[in-house]
Amino acid sequence: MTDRDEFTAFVDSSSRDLLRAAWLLTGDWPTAEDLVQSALTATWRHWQENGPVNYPEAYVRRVMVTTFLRWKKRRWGGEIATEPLPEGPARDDLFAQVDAHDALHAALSVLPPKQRAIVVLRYFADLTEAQTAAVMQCAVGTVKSQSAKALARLHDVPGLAGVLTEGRAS
Amino acid sequence: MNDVERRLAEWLHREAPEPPRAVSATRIMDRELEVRTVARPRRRVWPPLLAATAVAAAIVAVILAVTSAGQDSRPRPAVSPTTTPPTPTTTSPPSADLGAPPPDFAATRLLGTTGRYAWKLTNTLRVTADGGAHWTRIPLPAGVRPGAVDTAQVGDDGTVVLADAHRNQTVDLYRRPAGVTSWKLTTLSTTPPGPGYPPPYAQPMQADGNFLTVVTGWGTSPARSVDDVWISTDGGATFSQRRTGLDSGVHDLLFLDADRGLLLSQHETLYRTTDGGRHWTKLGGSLAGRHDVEFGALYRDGADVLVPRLTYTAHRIDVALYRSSDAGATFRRPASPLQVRDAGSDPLYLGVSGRIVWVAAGRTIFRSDDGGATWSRVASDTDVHRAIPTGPSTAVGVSAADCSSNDPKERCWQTDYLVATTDGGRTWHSL
Repeated sequence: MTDRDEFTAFVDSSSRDLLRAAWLLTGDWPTAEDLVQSALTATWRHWQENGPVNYPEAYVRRVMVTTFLRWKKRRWGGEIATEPLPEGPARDDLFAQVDAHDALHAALSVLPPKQRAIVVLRYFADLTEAQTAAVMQCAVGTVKSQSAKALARLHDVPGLAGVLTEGRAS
Repeated sequence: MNDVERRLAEWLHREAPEPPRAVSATRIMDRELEVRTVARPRRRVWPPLLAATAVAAAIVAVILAVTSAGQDSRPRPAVSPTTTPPTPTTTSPPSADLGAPPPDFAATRLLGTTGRYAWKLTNTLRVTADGGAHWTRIPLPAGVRPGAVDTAQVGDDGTVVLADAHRNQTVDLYRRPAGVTSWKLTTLSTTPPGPGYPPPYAQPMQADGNFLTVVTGWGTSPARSVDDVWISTDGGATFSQRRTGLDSGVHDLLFLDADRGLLLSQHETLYRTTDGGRHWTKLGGSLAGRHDVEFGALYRDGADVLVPRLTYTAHRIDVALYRSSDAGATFRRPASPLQVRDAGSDPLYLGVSGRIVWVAAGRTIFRSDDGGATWSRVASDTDVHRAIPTGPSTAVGVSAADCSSNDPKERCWQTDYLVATTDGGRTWHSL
């Protein structure tokens, strides 16, 4: 199996999870796709120069998070791309889907970028605290304290307290 | 992971929208190739500037050659040339030029917790038995290429065990008893829990003479992996294999004998077995997992088991060393835990050997000589970020510059170096 084949197989198997995680970080698909493509491009370059990466998911996640945090530090936020037209054919559950996604994005938006990244890595990517700390290049204690602060903030989000305490929206 | 965290995880998995389209690997690879091979427009260059540039390039090349010597020596695959020159495009180069990540997120690794220490650096394994004064280089087994060894373990008696997991789901286990120069190879045939799993990973956990334990697992991340525990009482000649059946991978494992053992999961949950790993019972009470609690690892002090419990709050970290004399059936809590108020953003590492406990937190080092009952601050303003005790007043540690930055180009892992102390941690010298 060539490097191209291996990389293609890796992208095919992981792009869905990476894109969903990127959406949780950024809140919109164009930016999420940019983020994933930037991370995968850097991974492919490393792959070509050094051979297959031992743990490509970990490598891509790390590049993705650091790139996301760097983007958030920029003073200029870039254009807001709207490739799909806002108007489109109505579907039965479209409004419900949009509401759910808006609620999710609104909830995560109350978190600063670092806390949001930790929440996505810990609770969506299922990383341990030690792995999250390795990706974030911070201490495990920082992950713990930031997770606790993020949970406390999410508790205060209207409608989310019920999800966290009873497993259903209040 | 507690209930709130689990609900949050379930909610995120449920509500995160499905992507509208997949990522095209071909596009990414071809775009990168275009960026690399697009011919830059030729410009007229002022001759003195050209000469200065050439000199600077030569200097940079020499510096790169010097700094890369001794690092990754694997041959670099050449970029395959394209048969059709790509059309120049206006594609901007990717912004995420992050370079190579550290191979293990740390170039220097200390393995082992008592007496003898292994050091893995640039694919070399070294062992010391005298607190770092002398190191013995251990050649890798014949046929094992540098970099292939996944993990290593060094037992109290000097037994070294290496694990090399393969894509065909087998794990080569090399064992070398103390004082012996040859390696004994045992190949474990692992069985993935289903189709589509990546190759297994393997971690030798204990190498106590003829008693060996190994953990193998499958999954995209240890937090979601399916792990097996392998136990041998005859130096690796035969193994009993038990699938843990837990909802996450194994973080640490400690057996007191072939039947009684403790397991710390990747989800910060402690389990206990009395039948060689056939069944695992979750510990409760103060040792139940919570989102603000971390259990550093499992340590052994003679017949006792030690479990450091770290409780994180917004302003401090409490370190309490729990001790069990009945293989984890009951634990005793220390009267007064260590309260670390200035851990900052640096890691907090524990080193435990019997009743001597070291905690390196931020730029401060604490030591307890009575099993965590009382603590003293032995050093401040130090770069030592890990300390493993070798005696009442000696320890080997790893020193590094501040690694808290999020800048991936700040390769702090390259600055790791080994240090030792002979005066109880007050001063440290590099090894």
